[in-house]
Amino acid sequence: MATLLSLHAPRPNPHHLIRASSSSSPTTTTTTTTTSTTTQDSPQSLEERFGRKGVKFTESGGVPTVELSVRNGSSVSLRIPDGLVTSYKPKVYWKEDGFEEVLHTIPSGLDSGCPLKGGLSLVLNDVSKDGSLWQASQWTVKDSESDSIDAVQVELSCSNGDGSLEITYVISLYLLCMATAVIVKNKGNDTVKLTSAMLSHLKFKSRRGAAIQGLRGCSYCSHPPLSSAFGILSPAEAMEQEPPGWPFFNNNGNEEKEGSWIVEDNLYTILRGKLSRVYTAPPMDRMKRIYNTPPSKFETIDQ
Amino acid sequence: MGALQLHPPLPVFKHNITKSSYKLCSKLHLSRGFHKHNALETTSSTDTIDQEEPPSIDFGFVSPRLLPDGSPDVQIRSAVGGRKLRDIMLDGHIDLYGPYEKPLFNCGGGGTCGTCLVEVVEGKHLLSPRTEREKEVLKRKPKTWRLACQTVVGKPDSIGEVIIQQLPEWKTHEWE
Repeated sequence: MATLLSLHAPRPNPHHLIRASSSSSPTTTTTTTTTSTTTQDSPQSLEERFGRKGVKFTESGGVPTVELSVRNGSSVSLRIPDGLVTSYKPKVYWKEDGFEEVLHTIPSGLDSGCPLKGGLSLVLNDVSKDGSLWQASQWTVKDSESDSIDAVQVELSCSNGDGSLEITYVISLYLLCMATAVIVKNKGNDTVKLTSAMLSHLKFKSRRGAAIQGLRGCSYCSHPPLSSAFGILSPAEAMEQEPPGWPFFNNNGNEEKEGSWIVEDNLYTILRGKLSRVYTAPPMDRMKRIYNTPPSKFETIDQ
Repeated sequence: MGALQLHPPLPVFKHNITKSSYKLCSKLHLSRGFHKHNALETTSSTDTIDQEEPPSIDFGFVSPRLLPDGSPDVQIRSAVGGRKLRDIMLDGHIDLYGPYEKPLFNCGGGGTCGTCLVEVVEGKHLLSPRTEREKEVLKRKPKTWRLACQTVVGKPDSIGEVIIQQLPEWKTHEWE
């Protein structure tokens, strides 16, 4: 479940919020129908308010989407109400004038709701009260920013039923990478317990050549990912061992039992066999006075 | 073979990314819950020092680039004293050489190539003084910079705290 791409996002700075002062007032409520509770704006009105150079609001399959693009042609495509990034195509040096789609999406086969699974999605659950689980799901555009050549950014916001949680999701696109940042503000009086994940589905050329570098020395244990409507594998499916038709690749299967912590020995964590792990400092270690902190940077390698 | 490696961008919204300076001790202690053991204190601290724990030195290794929210990117390690700083960093999988990590790009601990540069932010009293080789290689560098392969950290029974800035030539912030 560790995030596979380590990126530098811009610092959440008040400049973004200052620019939005004119549009943060509740003019987002559509004035026509009063019965509908979701406040969806038409792409034209979004384009008027938030459109910038490199930030374009359109509609895809009846759903407002925003397309971010920068000078070298890299682009990101994001579905607004779901907060799902469906496409990231950076400019790559190994193809002349070429772009490579990094994210993997598949049709979800659902008639209603989101027609896609995969991509890059944010899972944010409020688990403070037992039984009633609130998930961040209805996103609206809050602001956009562009420096008109090298970087563009769009901010989505979401709040829970009683307004006690205010969540801002910032998606940025730069020349060589994209970044996401999530800011959660607790405006209520009670403490809030959250579980969250960034589910990233990436395309690799082959299983044999997919690896992560930088996790050596960090402890890991088997752990299922968080469940989400956009996940291609459910948590249970992710934890299933692969059938023994691949005996040479799945050499980790016997050692990893859920709950046991192992220290990563290899320079490259090869993703040939199916695995579902969390890389962090084990909870028992964190009780000690001093413990080895997990790495903050790692690289994904695709050969 | 094409390796898909995405590099972090140069700072974009430039109005915020001038060199920031840090009051290092308070920031690191607060964020990591260090209990400060000072080898020079002898009076009242004997109560607070855990008698069961074998003596070791606490290390904080700071990356040259800050985290996206502006805070320092610190890796915490703990090691027994008496060893070279280079060995402690390599065993702890800390990035010491940066781009010079590849085979034959560094002298492997000989003290001749000058690529294992580190800056000592705190804990100087625990480190051995600069050797003649270091003085030669680091003639034009700031006084706080050391060669990790020539620096011995403390003795096997030392207790204390050392904060090291990795790759000081590439750092984007300053220490007060």
